[in-house]
Amino acid sequence: MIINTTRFGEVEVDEEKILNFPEGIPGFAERQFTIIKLSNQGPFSWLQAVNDPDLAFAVADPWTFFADYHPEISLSDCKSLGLEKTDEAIVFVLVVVRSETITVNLLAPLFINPETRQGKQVILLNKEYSIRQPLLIEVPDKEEAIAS
Amino acid sequence: MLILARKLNEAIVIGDKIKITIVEISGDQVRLGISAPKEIPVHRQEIFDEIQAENIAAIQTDTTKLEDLDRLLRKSQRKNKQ
Repeated sequence: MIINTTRFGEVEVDEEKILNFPEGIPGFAERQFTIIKLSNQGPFSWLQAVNDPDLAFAVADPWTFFADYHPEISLSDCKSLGLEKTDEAIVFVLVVVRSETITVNLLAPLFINPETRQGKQVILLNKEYSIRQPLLIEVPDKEEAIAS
Repeated sequence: MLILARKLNEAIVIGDKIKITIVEISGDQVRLGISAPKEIPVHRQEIFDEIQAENIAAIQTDTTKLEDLDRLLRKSQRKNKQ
């Protein structure tokens, strides 16, 4: 199927790649999304709403940045996603770019069951994770910036 | 909404598995003890509000910024390898 997007134009998406978020993503009414990965954006992808061209969330694989990330989800979240083990899930974190800082929401990641393609933004049991965890990216020094 | 008056150390029971006890009252703050099965998540309302606000902030990201980000990332990785 073809979905219309504001950022990426018309995108052909395999129906098997449509993800359902039955409880939505807090703040938004959309329930169906798909992952769009662009080749020039490294570890970042987009969670694009199927029926709202404007609605897309920047997401990232948390382990690219936080190798020891160990999300623990509640039994009820596990059940509602139909997961037998939490490590079966595909996990993304939402990326927020503000003028000077880039943060990811480690406390409320997106869990997706790859078999049922059902997803949910869960609130982790781990209390140590932040909603606004800065991504520490070393900014190149001036010389390099000019060279590029 | 059901409204109940409770005193210190009194409790309310929701269903047959959830019990909320008034543990401490001090000024304008009330401490609650909540016992519920592990599969029932209990969170402060503010957490939900914050997550929602953060989600709304997340959709402001544009594509070019992520490309810039990836460029920086690669650069810093290269630097680290050297």
